[in-house]
Amino acid sequence: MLTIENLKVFHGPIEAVHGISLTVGKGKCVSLLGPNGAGKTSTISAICGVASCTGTIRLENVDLSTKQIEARVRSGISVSPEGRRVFSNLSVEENLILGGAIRSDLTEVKKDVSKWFDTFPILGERSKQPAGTLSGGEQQMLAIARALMSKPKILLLDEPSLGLAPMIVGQIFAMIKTLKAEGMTILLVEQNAHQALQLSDYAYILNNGQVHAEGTSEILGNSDSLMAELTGIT
Amino acid sequence: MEYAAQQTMNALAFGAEYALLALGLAIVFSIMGLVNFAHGEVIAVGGYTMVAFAALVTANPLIIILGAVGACIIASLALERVAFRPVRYADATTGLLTAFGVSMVLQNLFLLLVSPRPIAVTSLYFLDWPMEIFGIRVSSLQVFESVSTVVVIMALMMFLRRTTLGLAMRAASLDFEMVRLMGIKANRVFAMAFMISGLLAGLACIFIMARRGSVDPHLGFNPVLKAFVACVVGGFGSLPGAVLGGFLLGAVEVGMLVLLPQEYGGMKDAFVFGIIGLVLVWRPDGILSPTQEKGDKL
Repeated sequence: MLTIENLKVFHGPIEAVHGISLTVGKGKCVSLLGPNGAGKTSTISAICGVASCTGTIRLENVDLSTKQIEARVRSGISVSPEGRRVFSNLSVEENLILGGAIRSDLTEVKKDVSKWFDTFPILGERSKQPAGTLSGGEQQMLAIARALMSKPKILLLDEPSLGLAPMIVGQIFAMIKTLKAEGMTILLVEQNAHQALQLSDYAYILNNGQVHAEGTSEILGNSDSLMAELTGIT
Repeated sequence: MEYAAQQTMNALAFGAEYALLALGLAIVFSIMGLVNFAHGEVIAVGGYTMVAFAALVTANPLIIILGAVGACIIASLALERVAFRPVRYADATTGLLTAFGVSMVLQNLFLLLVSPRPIAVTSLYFLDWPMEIFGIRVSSLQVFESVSTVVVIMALMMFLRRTTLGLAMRAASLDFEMVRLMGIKANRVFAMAFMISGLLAGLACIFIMARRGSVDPHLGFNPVLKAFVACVVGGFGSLPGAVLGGFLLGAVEVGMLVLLPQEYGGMKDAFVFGIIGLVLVWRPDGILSPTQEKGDKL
């Protein structure tokens, strides 16, 4: 589904990611793990077309490397970014409608908005409220729902649990688990290694912009040294 | 009583004109962070189109008006494509200097290719009819100006609230990159902003021309300066702020004309800007300045 080869990501003159390669199979959940500054968000930004990069990014054998941000989204990539970035001046409902902006089936878009309000009743209750007034957890739910409104082929989730209370983190991961069960292809960037590995089929561990280790979640989860490195607990 | 009503109508008419102009500036600024000082020249393009239509095509005022509005929209879109698109992601200073540059180039083109002298336009005679509403004598221009501004503002509100592109424009004022991450083409959003700005300039052009009766290369300079002041007072980047600022400026201007003794009439602008200064002391970012994002709570 998503194949990345020799990806180098640049922030101005600084090379943040040094030629990583990774693959996300259809219907799989793959995690990108690693400490702060490892290059996880830079990788997501490069896949979306936001950060400048070299290397190859292919989605279902279509080369996205030279495409603009909008074209990549229209090819089937959708992102729930770090820090949520909901449109705080728009209502919850308007955020969701905008998430489905590339779809032409407006009636279906409205039905999907209602579906998300059924899934997350709290968003339904606050549908007319500016998104900026929601709590962090509610904003995260909205950001993920908004990303799914475009009916993407692959969902990129960047730090969905960051800054949220443990109970809310549980809800968010339960949501991701449901999405995975429904067959959604997911690339998950997380610092919460334990939770991420429980969800993922495969994981890449980044450090200093390079792939430090990779493997199935069972193998990585059972490696005490790697887990100690990721969690900082020895 | 009748005098007060007439002056209120005056204030509304002036305010409506400033509101249209300020909205034209604000809609581009809210998305692109660009203060488009070439907006005045777009208005002048409309004025010269009126002259050309009246001389070469028809005397029908409706067709002349449609031609002027159309020309303003095309001019605004052309400026976006030719001048502002290449500096879209540059810093604000580059955009501002580009706008000044475009403004100077167009003014000089009018001087060289048309005429430095004012050219009269007499086609808008229907905007100079006296009317009587509830016993109050007003001019048809005041009525058209107020009514059409209200209609345009309501239509714009509907567009911004009910259409996907309108929602995208509102969202773009906050986080343009995220709008692109929704798959919405940046070019469409920018082009629509300039198209609306051109439409508003076209409408304002009709009323300015009806009032002045002639067009010259500097036709748009003063109105855009007033619109800039209205935007600053209302809160730059806020569309409701631009409307409020426009009407407030109109009210203060007419208020000064009415209240100042005749011998101080020449100091009207000084008093107006003095009051505007006091408003800015009270609200330095403008009355309805958009809420600044304080960043995420992370």
